[in-house]
Amino acid sequence: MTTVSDLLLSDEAGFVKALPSAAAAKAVLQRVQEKLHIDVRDLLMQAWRTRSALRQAARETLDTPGLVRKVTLKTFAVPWSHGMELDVRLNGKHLATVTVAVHVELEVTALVAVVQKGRLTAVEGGMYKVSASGTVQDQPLMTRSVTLDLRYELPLGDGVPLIAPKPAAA
Amino acid sequence: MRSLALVLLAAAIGVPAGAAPSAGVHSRTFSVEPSTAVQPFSIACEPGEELIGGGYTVTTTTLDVLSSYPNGGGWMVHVVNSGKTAAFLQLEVNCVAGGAGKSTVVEAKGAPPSLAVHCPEGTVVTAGGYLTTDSQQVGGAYVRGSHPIGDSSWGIEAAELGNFAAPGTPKAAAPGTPQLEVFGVCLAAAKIASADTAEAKLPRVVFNGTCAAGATLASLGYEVPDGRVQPFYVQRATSSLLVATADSTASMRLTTVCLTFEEPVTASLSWPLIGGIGLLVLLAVALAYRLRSRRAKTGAGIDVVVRSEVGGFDLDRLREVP
Repeated sequence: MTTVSDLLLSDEAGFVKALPSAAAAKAVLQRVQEKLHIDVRDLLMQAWRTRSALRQAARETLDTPGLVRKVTLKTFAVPWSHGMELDVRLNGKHLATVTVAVHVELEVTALVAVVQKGRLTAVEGGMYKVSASGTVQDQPLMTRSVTLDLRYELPLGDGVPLIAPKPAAA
Repeated sequence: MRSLALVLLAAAIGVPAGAAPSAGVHSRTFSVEPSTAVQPFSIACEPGEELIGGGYTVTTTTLDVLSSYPNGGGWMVHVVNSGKTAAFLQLEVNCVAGGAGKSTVVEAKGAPPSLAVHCPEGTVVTAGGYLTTDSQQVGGAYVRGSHPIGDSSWGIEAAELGNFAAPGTPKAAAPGTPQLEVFGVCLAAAKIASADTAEAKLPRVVFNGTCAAGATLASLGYEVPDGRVQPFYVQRATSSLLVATADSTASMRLTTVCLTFEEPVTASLSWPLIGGIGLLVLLAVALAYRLRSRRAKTGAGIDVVVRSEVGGFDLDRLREVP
């Protein structure tokens, strides 16, 4: 499993450089790591659920029982960003406010996916490249990326829902 | 009190010992089915290990390796098997366990004729690779050099595939189109013990890299200094390289990257020091007690609170091409 945190926050150097004390840097890094412990595959599924041909296909297969759709895409790409402001306190006293900005580029190429009953049930081809960059107090962090072969790296089980379930009626 | 503790600590653990960092090559053999499609294969280091290099060997020239590069904590290649039968591909990843430094991968996109990446300060380059495509229409390139530059950079040289295409074939992508990516593996807490170069003459080069005693072989690099050569066939494993071409007797320069690692500081107990360590433990207990008492009076140390968060997908920049 690769998380956004793994890509961007693998070492403390960027934080130590941007913050006045190593202890504060470590504490902020730990907090940001917790917030960005997001599997890059989950991020992709979330993007597909937000807007994509896969989502459209899922809707159609739900509307027409028995329908199986094969979706092919040359490219699917979308950026995801996350910004946060964190207050650092020492013994309860405000020490600093730290701004962290994260930018992730998701890009899938040569996707061949099978959708039925509103779920993604098979991936027959597709390379997923995810690159992360970011800043702490406007100081850039090291940029890293990873490429996953979706045929093998996407745990599909009985199929992954492509339409977010509606909240239960009260 | 803190100074005294440091003096005692230095006296007690001054001699590094314990398990030294050790590097090892993991390999895996894949059977690649014939296909016109580009097929990716990868191999990863074990948990707790750090990547320092990688590569591949193939058993047939019908298996065309388009890309060979570090990816996450492992090594990846992209191949096309243009033959009629399955072909074997052996992937290797070179990893170090027990070292003090972490490895990271740096990369840059660009276009022929050359590209380079630079490791962050405090790290050395241990290996490198490249990613390209075999399609002329999208600007595929043929890589003819992949090698270290100094202690902290990795460079590649390449030519556009369109330059070697038959007359009438569409040429490569528009100038400036990114066609290539270069990668470098950067390792902290390590030094380049040597990056010796050797010369060899085409049309066929077989090279085995070696390092002096006490140094670890991380990877090999290759380049054609005069820059005039037709596409050649390369297979580069961790410590061996085979290059073959029908063309010329051009010279190749081969580089062997050898490393030494900084060991994590570990304690070495010897009877005369045990008294000192015992005293140190007593001091540490006293110090911890004192800190705890102070903390109880003043608060709970550093704490970080998320004040605000904002973000999500930028749907205005979503691209979907059927």
